[in-house]
Amino acid sequence: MKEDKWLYFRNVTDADDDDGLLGTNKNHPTSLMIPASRLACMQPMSDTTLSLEFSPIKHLEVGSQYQRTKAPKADAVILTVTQGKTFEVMEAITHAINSPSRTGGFIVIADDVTTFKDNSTRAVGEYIHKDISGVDSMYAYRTPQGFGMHEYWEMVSLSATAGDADGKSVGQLLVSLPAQAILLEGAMTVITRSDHADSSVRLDIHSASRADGATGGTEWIGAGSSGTASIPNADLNNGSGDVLYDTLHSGTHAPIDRDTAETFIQVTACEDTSGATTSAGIIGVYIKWFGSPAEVI
Amino acid sequence: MNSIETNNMWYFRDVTDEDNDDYTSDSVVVPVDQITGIVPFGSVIYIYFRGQNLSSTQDNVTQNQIVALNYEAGYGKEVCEHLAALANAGPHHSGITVVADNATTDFDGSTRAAITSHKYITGVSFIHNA
Repeated sequence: MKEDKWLYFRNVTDADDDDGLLGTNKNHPTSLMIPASRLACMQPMSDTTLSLEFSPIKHLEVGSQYQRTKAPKADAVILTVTQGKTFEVMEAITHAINSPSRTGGFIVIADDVTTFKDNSTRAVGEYIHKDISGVDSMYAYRTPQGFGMHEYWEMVSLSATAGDADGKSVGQLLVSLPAQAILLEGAMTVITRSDHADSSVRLDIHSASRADGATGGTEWIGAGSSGTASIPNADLNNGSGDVLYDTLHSGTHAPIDRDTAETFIQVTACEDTSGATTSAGIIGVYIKWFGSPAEVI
Repeated sequence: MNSIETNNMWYFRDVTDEDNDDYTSDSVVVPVDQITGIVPFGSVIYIYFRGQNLSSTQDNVTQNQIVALNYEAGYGKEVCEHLAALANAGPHHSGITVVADNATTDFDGSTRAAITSHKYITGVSFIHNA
């Protein structure tokens, strides 16, 4: 049977605070455990910090090499170490990974906790080497990172009630794109249809988040996309009698420079879609852009 | 004779009645060597597995599959240590290790207690593998 060592890190001082997020940033866990086989490299980041970099934990990362920076490995744990002792720390971690297991393969690399759940305490955290003094930071990203070419796919469950008029949002992608993105292309397809005969949608972009039922976006893909022709040049019909897996692409739409605007992407009603009783359908949305990584809304 | 490399397989079930174990998010067996990491989040611990997750709820922005376990807050490290040992333990008879099974009613209607592999794991919160 294959055996792997499991590397453990925690960067809170009270076990009660080990609840997932350090502050409000969704990319900074309070603790994590990673199979040693996912370790990509260890390298100093400064005189007193050492980075352990890992293959991504939360998302698939394939085919990104040569497309953007930090590809494909951006998840990392940064340890605070004694200046001049980075080699010794890397050697200790390597030794632990390659040594016979006495603890079921569980290896505490760095644990900052000094107050436990039962409120008992210890003077300092637990570290695999005396020249580690703490966890500086940890990164486990929810979206692929790096600057350059990105793609994203999501299946959007449409609101069954919000689209009671043309132009109202019935679903929004769960990520936004930071400023300076250039939208290259997009497409959408009918994954499941509405349980009502009347339903068709388009894809809008907007500079702000838009709740279901709200209006205000700019049409990108659909029959009304200004001065361009989507392929086919139509809205996407997803009523109960329409064609399953019917697909729409941005077609002749030129790349869109979003400049200083953030980008939110919404599936928008083109006819009254609110007749659905239980399901207004699911639309698969694909987008491709050049720029910064997507952020989880 | 060629040797066969075995792989520890973990089992999770998120229904209380076996009769309802009929959908992708109800139960799953996953190879341990497909785990990409284990991260606490709120009152659950996320176990991430390689594989594309195509669901569309808010927690599913991530693309890897997820099994989330409920656990007793403050004991995340203990749960991680247990899971590491479980991952490296020899597979049981069939190779499947039940990590958590929420089922308390069997197919024949008889009842039993839910199963968890550790005292600080209190059940399956959700399975995202569709």
